[in-house]
Amino acid sequence: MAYYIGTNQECEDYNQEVTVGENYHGTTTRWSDIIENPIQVQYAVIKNDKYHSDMEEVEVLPESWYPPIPLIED
Amino acid sequence: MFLATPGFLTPTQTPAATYLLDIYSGAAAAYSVFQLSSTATNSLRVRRSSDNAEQDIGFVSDTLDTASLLTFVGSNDGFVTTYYDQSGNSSNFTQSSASNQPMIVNAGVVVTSDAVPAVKFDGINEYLSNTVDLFGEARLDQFFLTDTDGDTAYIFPNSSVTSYYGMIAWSGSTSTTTTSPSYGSPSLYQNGVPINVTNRDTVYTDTNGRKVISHIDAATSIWTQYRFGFWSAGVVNFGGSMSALVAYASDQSANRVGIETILDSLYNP
Repeated sequence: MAYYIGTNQECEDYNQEVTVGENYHGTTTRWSDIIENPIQVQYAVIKNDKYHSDMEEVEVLPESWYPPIPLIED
Repeated sequence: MFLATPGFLTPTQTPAATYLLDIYSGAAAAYSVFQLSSTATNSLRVRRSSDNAEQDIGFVSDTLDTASLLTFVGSNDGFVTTYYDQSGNSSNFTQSSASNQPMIVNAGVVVTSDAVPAVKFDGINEYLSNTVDLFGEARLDQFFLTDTDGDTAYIFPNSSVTSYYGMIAWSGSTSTTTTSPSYGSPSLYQNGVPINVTNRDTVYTDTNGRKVISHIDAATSIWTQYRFGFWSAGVVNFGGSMSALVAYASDQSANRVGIETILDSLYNP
């Protein structure tokens, strides 16, 4: 599983492209949740291998995307 | 299961309650691959990967109708869009984003925990949420059938805000924060035995594997959503399967053993 990292709009646009391309219907309404970095203004969307984007691609979200350390390791 | 001996009742007698929710009524919500109520008709709504069509899947012999499920999904993957609420409250567990939906069929094979059908969460992005109920409750007694499947750090349940979460289990962590303050101070049980909540490692030791887990007298008063699976980017999302979640917004202390016993008999027939 990989992710694209970009602005909220870039992620939403990619999400919409996949959603339309895959023709989701019924109770499935879109490709992916948009993930918000809890520390800085940055967004990510799960990559669909059938759809390319020029956004930065990462295989996993780095630790800078994790919630503040005291919350999970206090 | 729990059925009277055939022919034992005369036509004028009313059959005794045979399903968990008929015996222990008043649940706020109940999700399972097992039929838990005499009035429940569907367990899951499933999206197949081949063309993204969806179909409801019900029960056969009180368990998920896996034959119909496989006929629908074929040799592809099947994902859960809806874990139907069997309580009668229409308080479904849902996921409308395709890539966040948990799995029930993997390449034409029904996902199982031992031989029991199991809704599988990847521990990365997949989750179900309830935006109707189970949050905003001053008291919530919950019973889970979970199989952690090798995951060594997990949270469940949680809200959409990272500071609102339920039990944290984490192998090797000596942190004594095992629930968030927002969850109250519930009593935790595994297979009917009180869980050692000394730290996250002891919670992990007591809850990992395939078990009946109970959270008695939890609170979700300030939660605005109730989720199971994904909590946040990182390592503590729930990876494994969940074959049942039954929740009451009332004191079930007196019924705990009875509810656990029925769930255990379903999970370990």
